[in-house]
Amino acid sequence: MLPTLAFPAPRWAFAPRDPLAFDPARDEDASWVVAARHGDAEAFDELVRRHAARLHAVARRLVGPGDAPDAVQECLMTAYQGLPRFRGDARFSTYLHAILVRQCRRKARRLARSLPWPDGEMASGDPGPVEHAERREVQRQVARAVARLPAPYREALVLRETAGLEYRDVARALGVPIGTVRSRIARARERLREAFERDGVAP
Amino acid sequence: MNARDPRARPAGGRPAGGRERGAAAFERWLGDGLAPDERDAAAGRRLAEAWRDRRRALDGSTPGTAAAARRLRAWWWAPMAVAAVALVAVLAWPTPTVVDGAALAESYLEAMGALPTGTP
Repeated sequence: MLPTLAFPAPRWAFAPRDPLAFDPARDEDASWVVAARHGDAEAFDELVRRHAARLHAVARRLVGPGDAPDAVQECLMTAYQGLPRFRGDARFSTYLHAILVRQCRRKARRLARSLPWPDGEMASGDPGPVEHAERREVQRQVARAVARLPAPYREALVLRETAGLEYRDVARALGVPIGTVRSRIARARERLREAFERDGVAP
Repeated sequence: MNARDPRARPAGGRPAGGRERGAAAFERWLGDGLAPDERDAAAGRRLAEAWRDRRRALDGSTPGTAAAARRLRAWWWAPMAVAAVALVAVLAWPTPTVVDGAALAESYLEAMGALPTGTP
């Protein structure tokens, strides 16, 4: 007869896997990241090609269109040089956006310029057809309202809505608890709703 | 906003009331305003090209030499393997016996008949 266990099994032996834990197999960039970490610089170029537009969109809403390209280039350089230290315990896009947010904060401090940035910069670009012009007008309104948000609210909202990160990835990128991210986004949306109703921009 | 617009309707399908229409309009306003647009796409393409040039300058290499350097890095183990085999061969080689030159010469001369056998 087998002896019975004198001690209960440790909790971790039966603990279910954390459903919110990061699963590398779900990261569509994983194979490119592995290749880039093994010295394939062209694999990193491919990662840049995939993420550059979204990084620019985030940077444009954090530091304005004039400084966004510089912020993205500095972010890419930092990410490239720090790639050997990237442990792969988060999505690659989270890694990039965490660096981008730090670069944008640094740039805003260095320029000693308080946001929001001038409206003229937000209106850059060709006017295009009528429907594009209407959409451009909406974007200008939202950009103006977002630029007036306090920086912590703006960062959380832009990472969620523009970068499309999940709440836990926003929390990782900003280095704050997920509950803080939820409350910041909720407050940001509340302020934007007030602006939306106050400015009479309802269609 | 048109009340028939499905984006302004709640999940049940009933045309939305004022509050719901307002919420849907706000969501659309926010979504349109924050989503990346064609300017971001164009800037992203420019940034990707600029990055490629900058990275090549940083690596100090053209694509051809970068590929060659990558191949060399991939074969880093080859010289290590050669060195390991050489070390094993040296250690495993039998120690050469010390040749007694006088005895060798003597046996040679004996074989040639130059010396009587049994010479002390």
